[in-house]
Amino acid sequence: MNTASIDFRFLLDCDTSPLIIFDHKGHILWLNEAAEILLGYADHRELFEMALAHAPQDFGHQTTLRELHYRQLSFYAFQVAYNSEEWIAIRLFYRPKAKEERHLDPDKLLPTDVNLLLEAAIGMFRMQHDRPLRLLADQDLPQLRIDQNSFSKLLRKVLESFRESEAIQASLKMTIGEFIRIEGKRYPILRLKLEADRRITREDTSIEELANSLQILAFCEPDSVVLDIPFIR
Amino acid sequence: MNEANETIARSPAVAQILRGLELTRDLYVASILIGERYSGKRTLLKRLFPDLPRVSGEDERALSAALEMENALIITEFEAVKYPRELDFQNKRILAVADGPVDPGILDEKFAFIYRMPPLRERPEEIESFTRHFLSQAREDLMIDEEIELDQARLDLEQNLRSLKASVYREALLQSLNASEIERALERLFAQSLEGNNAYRENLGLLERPLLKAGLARYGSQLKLAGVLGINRNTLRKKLHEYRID
Repeated sequence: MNTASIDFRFLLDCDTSPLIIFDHKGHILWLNEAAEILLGYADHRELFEMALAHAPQDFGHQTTLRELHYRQLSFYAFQVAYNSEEWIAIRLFYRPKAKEERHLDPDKLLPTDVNLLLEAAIGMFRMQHDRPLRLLADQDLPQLRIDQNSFSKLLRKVLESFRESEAIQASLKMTIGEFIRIEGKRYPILRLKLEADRRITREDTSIEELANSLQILAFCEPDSVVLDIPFIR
Repeated sequence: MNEANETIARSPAVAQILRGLELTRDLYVASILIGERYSGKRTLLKRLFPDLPRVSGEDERALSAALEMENALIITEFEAVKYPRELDFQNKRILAVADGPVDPGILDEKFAFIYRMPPLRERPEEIESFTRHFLSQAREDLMIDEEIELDQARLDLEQNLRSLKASVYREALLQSLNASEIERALERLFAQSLEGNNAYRENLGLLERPLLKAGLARYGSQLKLAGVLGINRNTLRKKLHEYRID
């Protein structure tokens, strides 16, 4: 069989390494599914600049070993390739992850209106700290099952880390196409994101530990916290 | 106590606490209210959770038993719990009250919602209504028919609601006493305290000082007051000097 009939674009599209092809002005000509997810966290202009800075001098490809982190996405290297002045491609390689075993304790999980918990936590935060906080939440979220007390503690700790921040933006919404795998089952992700100009990072380990005990992925940055909450019905 | 229940949420800070507790009232979370004694924490919880069983943190055995039995509980005097780390609040609705400081590590570990109740002196919106409420209670309890005008400066907020109530009752009682009751009160005081070798002069002030102060406040000038009292102006001046009355 000759290879002419093989749809290589399909293979690239479902490859787990993000691949983006830019034109010479930095506009995206094509990207695969993994790159679509990456662009949820990374700025495409930044990736284009990086591609230009690390492109081989002549037509061809060049791989650079470098740790890159875009929220929860971690890469150990990227490759830049081109064989025309019209386009340039960048492909990022995920850092291998040890498989984390996650377990659920169904007795601790109670049906919960997460908006209500969030409102109460924000109310308490506002009582103690005079900081402007804007919340954008999907009010029609169905109930999810969660350990109410520990999750409320987590919210308190996360909010407390913004006690010296200026304008705080918070959003709560379902993500599309992303899942958390626990005990072999895939759960959609409810994402709570808080960001500001800066935050106190001293308690980040404690935030991450508590989140971990709740099977929540916490991504703490100097200016933001993202909680990826498994949406367990 | 219904009026007190309504009064307690008039200040913005307490209204916020109330709102937070209302939002989580059906959830299985642990909340704690920390504040000075008699600042109204129990009144607030009583308003929201009138039927919830209560147990004191001073009685460790009763507390452990209640946590075994109940899935919703009010724990008072939480600061007195000796081994708070051993308490299991998992999937329970816990409303705790602490009148004194609690180890921050324990607060962080055990409680999702930590509310700080401001003392009454920081809640001016509530002082007036509580004063009115206690005054109406005092008039009813002490069977006082006449109107009572309270001197705000005499209200004692040192121990929050407790001292406010006591000071309102005391003022109401004082203003309702007639001459013979005042005489009886003085007689009782003298009976208890009369001793030494100069008691006449020492105790005379109890009669003369209020007489002169009230007279001066009412008549303004020493000349007029001397006339009303029927004493010499110089004698009056000497007395005022002796009692350091301006």
